[in-house]
Amino acid sequence: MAGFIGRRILWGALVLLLVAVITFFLSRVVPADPAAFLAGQNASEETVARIRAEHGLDQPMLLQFRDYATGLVQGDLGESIRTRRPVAQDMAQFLPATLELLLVSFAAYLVLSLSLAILAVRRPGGAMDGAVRLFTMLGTGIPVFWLGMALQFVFYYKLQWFPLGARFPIREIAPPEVTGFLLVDCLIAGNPGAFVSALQYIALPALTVVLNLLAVGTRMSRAALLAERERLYVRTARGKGLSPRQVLFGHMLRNALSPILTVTTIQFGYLLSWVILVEVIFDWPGIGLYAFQSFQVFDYSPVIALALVSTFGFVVLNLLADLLYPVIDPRVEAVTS
Amino acid sequence: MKLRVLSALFPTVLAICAAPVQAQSTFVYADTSEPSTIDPAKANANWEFTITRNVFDRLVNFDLDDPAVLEPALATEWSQDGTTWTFKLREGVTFHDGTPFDSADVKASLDRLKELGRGQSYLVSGISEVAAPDPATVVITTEAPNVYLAGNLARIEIASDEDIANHDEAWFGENANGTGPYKFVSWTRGTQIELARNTEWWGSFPEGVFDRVLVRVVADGQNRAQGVEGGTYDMANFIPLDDAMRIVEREGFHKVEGNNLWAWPAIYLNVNLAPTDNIDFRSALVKAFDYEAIKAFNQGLGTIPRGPVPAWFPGSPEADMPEIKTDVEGAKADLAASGLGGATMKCVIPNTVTEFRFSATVLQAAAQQIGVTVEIEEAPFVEAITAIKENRSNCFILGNANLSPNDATKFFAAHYLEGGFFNAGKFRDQELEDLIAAMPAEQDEAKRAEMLAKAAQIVVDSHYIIWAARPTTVVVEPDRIGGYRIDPAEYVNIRFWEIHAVE
Amino acid sequence: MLEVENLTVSFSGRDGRAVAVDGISFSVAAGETFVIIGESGSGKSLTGMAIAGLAPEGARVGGAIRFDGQDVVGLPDARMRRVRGRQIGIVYQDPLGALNPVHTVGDQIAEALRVHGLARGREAMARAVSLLERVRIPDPARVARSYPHQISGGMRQRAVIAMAVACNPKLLIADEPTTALDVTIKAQVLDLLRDLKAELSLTTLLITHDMGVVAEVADRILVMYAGTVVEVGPAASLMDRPAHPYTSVLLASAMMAEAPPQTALTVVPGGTPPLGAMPEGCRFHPRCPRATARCRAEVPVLRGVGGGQAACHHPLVETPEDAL
Ligand SMILES: Nc1ncnc2c1ncn2[C@@H]1O[C@H](COP(=O)(O)OP(=O)(O)OP(=O)(O)O)[C@@H](O)[C@H]1O
Ligand code: SF4
Ligand SMILES: [Mg+2]
Repeated sequence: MAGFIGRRILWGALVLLLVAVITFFLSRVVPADPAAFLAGQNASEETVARIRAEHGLDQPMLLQFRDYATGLVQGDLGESIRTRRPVAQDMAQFLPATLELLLVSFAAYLVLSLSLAILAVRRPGGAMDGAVRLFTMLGTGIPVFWLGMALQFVFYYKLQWFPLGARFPIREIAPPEVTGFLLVDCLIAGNPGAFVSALQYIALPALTVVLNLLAVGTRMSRAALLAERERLYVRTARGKGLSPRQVLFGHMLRNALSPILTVTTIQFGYLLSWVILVEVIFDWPGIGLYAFQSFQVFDYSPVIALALVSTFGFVVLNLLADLLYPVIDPRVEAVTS
Repeated sequence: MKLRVLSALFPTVLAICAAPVQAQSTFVYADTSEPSTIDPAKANANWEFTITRNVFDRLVNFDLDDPAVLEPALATEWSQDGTTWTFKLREGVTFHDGTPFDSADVKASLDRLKELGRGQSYLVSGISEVAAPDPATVVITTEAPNVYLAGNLARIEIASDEDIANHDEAWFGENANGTGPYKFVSWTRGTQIELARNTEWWGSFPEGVFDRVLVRVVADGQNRAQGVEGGTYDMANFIPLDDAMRIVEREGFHKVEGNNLWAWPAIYLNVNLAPTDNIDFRSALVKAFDYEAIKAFNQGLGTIPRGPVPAWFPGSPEADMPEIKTDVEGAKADLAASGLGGATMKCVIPNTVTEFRFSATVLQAAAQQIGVTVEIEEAPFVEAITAIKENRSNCFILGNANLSPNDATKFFAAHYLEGGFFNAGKFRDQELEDLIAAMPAEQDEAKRAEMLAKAAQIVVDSHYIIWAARPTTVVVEPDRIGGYRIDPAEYVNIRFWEIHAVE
Repeated sequence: MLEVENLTVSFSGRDGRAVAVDGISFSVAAGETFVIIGESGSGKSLTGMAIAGLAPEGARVGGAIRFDGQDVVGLPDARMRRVRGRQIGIVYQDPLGALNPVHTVGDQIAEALRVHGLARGREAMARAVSLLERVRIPDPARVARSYPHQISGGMRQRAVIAMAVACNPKLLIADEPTTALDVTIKAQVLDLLRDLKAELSLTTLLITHDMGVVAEVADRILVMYAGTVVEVGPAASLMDRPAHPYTSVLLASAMMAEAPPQTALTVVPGGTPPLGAMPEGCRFHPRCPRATARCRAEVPVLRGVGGGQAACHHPLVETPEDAL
């Protein structure tokens, strides 16, 4: 078990290194000069050269990478040219907002895809099944950025049901920052009104992320549940006098969870990318928006950091998933030993 | 029916759940980007000036309605004597942290600006020495006589010499202690900067001025437009023209119209790369270009430029210059003269601005009419300007706004003189270099106007630039708000100390 | 205690209704072991499931099933659930598939008690362990903590039986409880069923196509062919002197079970006809060595033959009327 985790961590570290190398050199082949941006318009050539030297941008690429990698090992993600602060500091600041959106979206994704699958699977081929399929297909068919803008247009602009672009009502005082997770901070502050406000703000961005993933998620969950329905233990459970609901929640769901987990792990990658995109659409102050704005001015370090953090998240998620399989299904303990 | 009840009920329920605690007298401004820095010596983008302009003061301000007129600010009197400028300072002014303001602050700020060489330091590049003979007097010596110095100082913010002595660059990057109308309160990265009104300010505020200002970062233009329209934001920096024109037609909104753009867009032609190195060829492109198409795109707002300097700029020669009009026959003749009929040219243009993209396609269509092929490639700004500077592109597209209220030489230096950052096509003309160098030293206003006219004509005659349009700027102001004025010397501007609520 | 009257189970398919169980009637007395035999696809399981109120989705159940005097056909599921598992215990063929792989054996047995409110929490678990002991599982506490894949096939089947009898049901429906087991285990499980029957005074409805099993436990036997009852009667007389040609063929094939499969095939050539294409007259006539023109035209009805009843125009045993 420990050996398995150790191997996986080593493997994860390797992947991270690879991502670091690739993103670093990719960012360096872009023929643009961040020093010129940093110096500002109208700056003299000397100023630009001086800034280039200050940031080591005049060094040969391999040397630059050595310096970057050395820093990376010590937890130094470099410096952002745009915000003029250490990237690690910026990431620490923006990460909670992203994580909050990610976790809320993820929870919504799980709940929605499972609920819809359960609805659909009641009568396969029935009207509800069709309706669920149509709804989820629509969500997937519409590109995320478009969907985000459409939701915003309808629910903010037209109906005024949901607020726009922020995490909290702008003119109000947000609860003191403790965890950086606004929803949690609202609860810590003992302010349910603020909590509801924060939920309203996260609703549209999260929905945008989730709607796109719902079709695949629901279809997979539906298929998994449908397969479970045919299994003999379902008949046994019914034979004991369990209601269909008890059979579903007490027996089928847990069995269906393994295939659902597999799909979910894959979906999580998309989830992550959509969260980043959605942050840009909704001005959600997370690491995605941070990296995007940096990217626009050729500020490389935040972009590389984003790639590293996402990869790290993905590696951790996969490890978690592998550790979860045997918990869900006692038959697969062999994998980890 | 059920749905209608629900949709009526839903917002009410939400409203009850999240009972808003609206702070009184808060102005929310949606800006386009987050500042990189709020250091007055480094700030160089309009979204950075949003903070610095309101937190710091300058020695002088200029009248937005007439940029030729300078108004007292931290200096109450000023005069030029050859290479020496003397400023008498306002007394009794204090910084937000309570320390008093005097000549040492001015000296330290200007010295720091020159030393760092960043931000707007180009505006003070001619200064050789700053002296503070007594707390209420500053004497600035310039390398050559410079009539424009006071005007250019209307863009230079003054920080405290104690801060400069006690804090490093990083501190200035995210802290601001000025003498200005608003105090810097906090900066929530990625979200907003909060300012509070400085009730001790030496100047006067209008009735209904806001006590609290929130500058939000809203990168997407659509979001800013919807946010202003929906009342989430009171005003916004740059709302796309289509949206602005639509919103101002709605009840509860009006438009503030004005001039601040010199050209938008301007197409720069590379004078060092074939075929645009040929002046007749460039002339053919200028004549072939369809100016009416851009004007229509701008919903008919604005004028077609006749040269680089707009008519409303102090001392502009524009009124006496001939119109530039589409002339396909003339273009064909010029092309024949160049001997480059059927040539192909490449345009790497910035991909960020719709108008840039549109003007590139107009150029393409115009060139096709005379048998010239234009290949368009879109790239990020820095990449695009690098491409033309490295002779990989025949043209570049840019928006032009001025950088100084009354000094055109700074604009010329940046765009048409050797080494200018925006001189993308590497244009060079010795006569122009000499004229621009000589202008600040000329004391006679009429003679300076003559020189400016000559300089403008040289650029026109070189056919280096196609000035596609000079649109009017439209800003959306809700009826509940007043006091916004367009700054003729800045692409976008907001003076929070002039903004106020309207009953 | 169980009376089945004119039971039909049908499915609506693409080409009309397919009748899988076609109007069968029988009754089971308290305490008896009643066996339904027949080839695969003859409708045995459907009959058993219909009694338990678990006919598959899309099946239409007609007729009457009186359990303890109450007709359970058309009973709402909520009411039927109080009977199922509590009054009627069910054992299925495949003990591995019949157990949920992600719950422990003990949990699954305890659940039967919990759902009918007979025990809660720890007590339910303790009773699950004693139930496992009752079905002769060695080290029941350990097995209770095990997952189904961790114990042997025989043990799993015992566990399933323990689950079925957990609530002391009156009726035990066992659908091919021994089919998947090897010979020695099969014998043990049959022994167990027999013992439990005595201990708990169970009425047992045993479904099988294994004649060997029948001989050991049956009090009465019902033979099904293509959804109909072809013969029913006391076990001893039916096995000694089958009246219906199909029954005799089944018995012959059972006796030749040791022989190579080809031999068995020659004894009962062909198979159950497809639901959509039932032969006219006697459904068995295409395969019957005694078939006549009458058999092809006229559907035989159940009538008293020998010790029981058979549906055949030309029974192998004299009818009481014939004997007269
Ligand atoms: N859900 C269903 N839909 C359609 N037809 C079905 C369904 N379930 C069973 N049948 C049909 O009903 C008939 C009887 O099935 P049943 O399972 O009762 O047979 P059986 O006698 O138990 O056979 P075996 O010995 O193979 O278990 C079969 O022909 C089968 O094809
Ligand atoms: S009725 Fe005829 S065909 Fe049917 S079993 Fe009897 S003899 Fe055979
Ligand atoms: Mg069966």
